Amino acid sequence: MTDFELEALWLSARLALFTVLICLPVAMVVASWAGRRRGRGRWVLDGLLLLPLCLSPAVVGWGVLRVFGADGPAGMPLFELFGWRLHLVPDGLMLVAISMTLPLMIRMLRPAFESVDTSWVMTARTLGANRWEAWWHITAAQARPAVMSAAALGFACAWGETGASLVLAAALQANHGPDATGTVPLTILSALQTERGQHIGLRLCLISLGVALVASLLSEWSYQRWRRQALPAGARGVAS
Amino acid sequence: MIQSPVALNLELRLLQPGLDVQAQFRVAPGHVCAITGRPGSGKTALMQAAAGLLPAQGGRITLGSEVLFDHPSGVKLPPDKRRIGWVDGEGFLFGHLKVIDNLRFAWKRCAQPMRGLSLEGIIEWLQLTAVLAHWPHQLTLLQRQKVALARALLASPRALILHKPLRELPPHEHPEFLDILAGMRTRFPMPMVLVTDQMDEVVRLADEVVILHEGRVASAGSVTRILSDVSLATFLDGPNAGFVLEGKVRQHDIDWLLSEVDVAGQRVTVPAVLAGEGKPVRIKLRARDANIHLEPSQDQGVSNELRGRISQVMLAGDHGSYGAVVVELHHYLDAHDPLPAHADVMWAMLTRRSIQQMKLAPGMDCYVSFKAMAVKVSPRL
Repeated sequence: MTDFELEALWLSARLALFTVLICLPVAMVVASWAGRRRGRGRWVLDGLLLLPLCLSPAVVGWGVLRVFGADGPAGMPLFELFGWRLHLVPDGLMLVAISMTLPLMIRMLRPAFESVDTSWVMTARTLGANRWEAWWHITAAQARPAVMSAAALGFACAWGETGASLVLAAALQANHGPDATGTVPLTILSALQTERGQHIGLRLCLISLGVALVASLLSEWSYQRWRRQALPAGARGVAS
Repeated sequence: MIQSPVALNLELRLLQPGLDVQAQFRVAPGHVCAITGRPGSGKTALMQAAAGLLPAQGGRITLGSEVLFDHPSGVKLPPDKRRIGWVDGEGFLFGHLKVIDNLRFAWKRCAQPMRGLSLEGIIEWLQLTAVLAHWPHQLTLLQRQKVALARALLASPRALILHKPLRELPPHEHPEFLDILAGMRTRFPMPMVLVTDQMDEVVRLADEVVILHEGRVASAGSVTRILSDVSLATFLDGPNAGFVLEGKVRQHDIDWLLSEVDVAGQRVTVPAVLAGEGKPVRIKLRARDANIHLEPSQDQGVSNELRGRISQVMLAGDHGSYGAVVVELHHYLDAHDPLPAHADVMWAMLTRRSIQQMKLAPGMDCYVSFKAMAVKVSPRL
């Protein structure tokens, strides 16, 4: 395996890991909030949270460019305040990975937070736990297997994110340079375009398959644990 | 510093969907106040508001001199600061924690334990040692309820709400858990509120009763007075309606395993009760099991015959099939006994034919008879 491939793998792994680490707490808080008793019109907000999942990745990539680019509404003040400018690696890729992964994780976590037994939470309060302790020890603890599951799937999703990254790569080629390291999917794409790169592409594809397989199996195994714990005994999803 | 027990004063108004709940009562330390009434009368919501789990729209709650909730001045302590414990019939054990961790959850949050409270002591008292390493779903229902009780106590509450504590228990396990609950009043003398619609639990555990009907206090008072009232008892207990009398154990008959109880200076024979001589007991009898005579019975088989005077005759309509005859017991006092505060009341449910054939009317002296086996007797600890 060449250094080039190893670097791509390492970059993808780091990106996916950091994406999950950033998304997980945010997703838990948002899912917990969205999973509470409904207010009027809350479903509209839930729908908006789902939006990035339904959009074409090209639109997401373009959106990230417009918002965080040099003259975007977020990019400009960030540049003026911190001297920060959007690069492809790692911030650009990270931003698109987050915007694709976060909605997925929220959507996965919401049922777990919705099914938390509020009587347990209320009992914990009467036992002297304050609001935050009750959330952490009861609400979040009950959702824990689902959180594991969402983290594993989020990792796979961030690892494999291609579409929006491509848009970003094309637009930011100038300050990226054609030979710099890309993520695994980007490397596969460029490798497949050359005669020489066929076997590199194949190797990376197989590794990606392995990662995806492990992540999705881990996610489902964890989700199964949550189902057994959270669904009522007579539910269709629970084996008798 | 060990806290001393204080009384719970509660005055609340809360608006629930379709129900406006308004109630006011006081529970002395070491006393059990039963909140009862039909399902949907607002009992649970009222106590949830007292514990701070539901918002209240008005009123005031105090524990001794400490104000937990005061609507006019805006005081509103969160549930974890009110220190009102909640034992629920469904247990509500945290399923992701083992039994011992369920107990520790409460114990480590208890800043100043009340007198006689320790983790080991509670575990030993409720015999939980064997199940400490179990998961909640592995427990029997009785064990689950014991753990729920232990956990609530370990948080060292200053008042305790027992919310339908026997609802899920199979009937054969009721006596053991009732014994435990009955022992609480002396072990942990704090104000306790029992929410239930089972009159057996009220007779066994409570000192006072508050009847909630459609969100309002329909009646309140001592257990003997409320549960012996013809209309209230019928409303609450349906076919089991009857009366509750308080008495003292006079002596036990070991040969026949019977106990003699002194009620208003008269003698009542009941199946043996586990209470020492001189100890107070409560007896409950269904009104349909009581009979009324004008002359003392010649029948040797009748073991209980109390003398009294008819105070009221109520017919269920002029052409109904039955009626209730209320009898105030004669008091036979020793010279040194204090005069009773109020008369002991019994009532019997008779057919209209019997009532009219015997020409029963208020003011007549009579005898009330019943079988020893019809009596339900429970010790007052």
